[in-house]
Amino acid sequence: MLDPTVFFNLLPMNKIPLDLSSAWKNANLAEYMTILGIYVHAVFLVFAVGFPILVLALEAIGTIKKDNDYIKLAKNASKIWGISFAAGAVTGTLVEFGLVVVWSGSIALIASMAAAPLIIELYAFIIEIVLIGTYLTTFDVLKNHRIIHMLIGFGVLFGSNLSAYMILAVNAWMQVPWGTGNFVGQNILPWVPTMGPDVVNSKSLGILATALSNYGSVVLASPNAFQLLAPFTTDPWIAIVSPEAIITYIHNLLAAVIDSSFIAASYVSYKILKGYGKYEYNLKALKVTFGAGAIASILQPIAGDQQGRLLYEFQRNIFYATEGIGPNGGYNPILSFLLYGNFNHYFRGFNYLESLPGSNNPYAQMTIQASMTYEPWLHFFYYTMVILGVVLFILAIAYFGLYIKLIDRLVKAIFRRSTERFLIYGSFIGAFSGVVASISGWAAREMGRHPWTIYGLVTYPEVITPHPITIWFTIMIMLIELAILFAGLWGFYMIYLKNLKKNTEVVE
Amino acid sequence: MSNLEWGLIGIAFTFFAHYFFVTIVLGLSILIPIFEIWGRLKKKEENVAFARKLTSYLIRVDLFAGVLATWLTVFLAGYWPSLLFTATDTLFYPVSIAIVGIMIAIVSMAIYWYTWDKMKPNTHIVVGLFMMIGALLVPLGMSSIFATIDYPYGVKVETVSGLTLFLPNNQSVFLNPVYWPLVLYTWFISLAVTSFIVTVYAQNVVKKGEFGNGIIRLTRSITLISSVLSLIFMIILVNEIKSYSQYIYTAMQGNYSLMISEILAIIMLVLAIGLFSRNLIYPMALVGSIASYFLMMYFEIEMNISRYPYIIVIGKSGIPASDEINPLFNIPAILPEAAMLTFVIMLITFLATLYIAFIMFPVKRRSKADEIL
Repeated sequence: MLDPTVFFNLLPMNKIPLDLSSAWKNANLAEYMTILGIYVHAVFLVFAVGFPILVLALEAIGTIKKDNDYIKLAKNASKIWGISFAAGAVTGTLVEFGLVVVWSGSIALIASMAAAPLIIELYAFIIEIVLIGTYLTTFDVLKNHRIIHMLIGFGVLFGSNLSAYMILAVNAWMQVPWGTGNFVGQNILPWVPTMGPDVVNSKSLGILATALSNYGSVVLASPNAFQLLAPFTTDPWIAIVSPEAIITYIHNLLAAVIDSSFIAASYVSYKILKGYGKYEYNLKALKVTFGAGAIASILQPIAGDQQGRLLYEFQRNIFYATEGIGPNGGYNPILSFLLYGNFNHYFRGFNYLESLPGSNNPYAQMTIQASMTYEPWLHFFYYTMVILGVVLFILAIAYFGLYIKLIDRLVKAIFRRSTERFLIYGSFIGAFSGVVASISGWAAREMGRHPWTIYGLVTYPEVITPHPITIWFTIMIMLIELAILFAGLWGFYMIYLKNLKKNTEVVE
Repeated sequence: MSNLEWGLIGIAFTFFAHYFFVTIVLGLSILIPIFEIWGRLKKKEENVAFARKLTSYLIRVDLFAGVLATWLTVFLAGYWPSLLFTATDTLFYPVSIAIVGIMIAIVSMAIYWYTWDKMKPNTHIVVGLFMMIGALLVPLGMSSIFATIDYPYGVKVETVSGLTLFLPNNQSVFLNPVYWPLVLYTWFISLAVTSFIVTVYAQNVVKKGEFGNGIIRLTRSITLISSVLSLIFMIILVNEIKSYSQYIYTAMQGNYSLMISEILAIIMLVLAIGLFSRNLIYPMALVGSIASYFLMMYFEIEMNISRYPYIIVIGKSGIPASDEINPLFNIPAILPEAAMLTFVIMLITFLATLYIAFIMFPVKRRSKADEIL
């Protein structure tokens, strides 16, 4: 067994400890390309995760009702998979490469707590790509065997959701490192409660935190560094079963369904307004797409509420920032009621966190400082998400005006339009609200974690590559990321919009 | 089984599956623009049409190659974290070049595919050249990893009191004597394997009357040139390995794998020449495809096996694989077992889908007024 002290003393880097200012500079520049890369990835990911539900719903309705319109709609909707999955796979691969090359210290994470979810994600990835190809190829071939074809579609649904779950489980572990027990609370951030069972070796965590904070990711250039951390955990599955992983997945899945459904609904509405295609045919599409978005929008507040509770419990500093509680704390009757069942709870604020015994360590100070610095942005993004969530909820209720007379009358009274007409215009508002809410929600989640890569354990500069990230390198990568985004969007345009008028003329 | 055993099996399995697909991607990314350029220059529309047909295969194969690239990265990070860190840290610039290459290739490939007949021919050719350059950049970057584990030039390896450290030094990894022959060999053997396979395919479509003989004339010329260059750069590569990586050279010489590789390369060359015999094109191309693929895989496997028990060879010894394996915990065996089972099932499904799409019910090109309503 290696002695950590002996190891660190022998390191040549020991003479040159981590240059924090250059590491921060590197990390800050790398962050731009990472943020853009992840958002570009998300554009395609949303369709890869959200669309299988829509496509299968359309195909199932078509099969049950024996209505060929729905089957045709399912076929047309599934065409988006070709581009969204290809672009999603490409950007996903690049994000992964970016992770191991630019944020090279994160290899320690992949080799430890993220190993199981990421290896499982590999199965999901290959199942998804192969079955998408099979689904698209056999759409007409299996026209007399719709059930078998739908089973292939369920395979796609399973693959995309398993993939999403595993990736989000890793992200969730970075937010709430489940399985580290009292380590973070006792040693670094005193306001953090016990994070699940104590299955990660606290001695290893201590060595990892010390090594990365003193020497940066370059310490991993020695295979012996990994030997120092062994044995790391007794439960490699823990990241998959954490409450944060489960809720994050549900919250993000619903967001993907909302975004993709309302985008599809707005496309159909555009066709209706422009007179492309038959009205009845488009209306069938609108009912299914808007309906899927409406159901997800009604369920989303429940998932959002659970996510908020986890934030309150495990990341109190971020909670204070997103809610705009401020340094001295204050009353918030709605939050108080939601969390405590009364309206009088006093939320204590950052000063209280700072006053806790153990908060005088530099990491706790840096964390509180970061939360206070980012508070206006976090508050803005968080409430943008919440307000747009309310808009989506109203749209969702209005949707049921198609089936419930009371709601139909209410819609007519308030908006002075029939429910059907309201949904046509509302789908554009839904698409806008869903997309902006998703962008804002993710921004709040990731920005809130500053300065941590893994909350309470590893900061950004500690995992950045020791190589200098130049502004030109960053610009070049960002330009290529944008090129991928525009290539994908252009593909969507070519498939769904370019020939729309021409097609209508052909059909009619 | 231990992490070491699973690490070796997993990485070998993934690497060789990945290697086949990236070889085809690289080869097609070079061949397709050549066909288009040649067709436009000589005003032979069939070459352009054939390039278009090949692109539809390229798109599908590239997706599979991309998925397997992710497999490789995750397996490396999961089982060989220290090795992956060494690669991304000390070889930061070449690996970054490879990533940029992937990005360029994918974007230009998508544009290339979707803009047939929708762009000016010269602009479309430029996009195709970007696709080719992007594809060439990937082995240009990734070969640095193999060159470094054969001969860690440009990397400072320090051993202090039994501790091993890999650090960048001031030497450029691009000047590694093993590196350039490896890059050139990889480029040309990939082109040779692909052009043999394309010749088989070309012969089939010519027989069906879909294309004229012109496409075979071009593809067999490319096959011959790439086979000659593969053989030349293989000899140079072996020579460099003999000079700088004695351990690998001795191991390969000991089990006759060098001799077998060289014989296979000569067979490949003879078969490439045989493509010029009018009556023997098909059998020559078919056997050539198998022989060139077998040569490529055999040489690669032997090179990799010859490093064992080391994973990085330094002169006559090296860093044992057991030093680089993930020691953090025993990765449950169910994970790699399920991965391989899933891979096999999905590969069969993928091949069946290709069979359905291209042979059983060939995909017809969409009409201009596509039914997207």
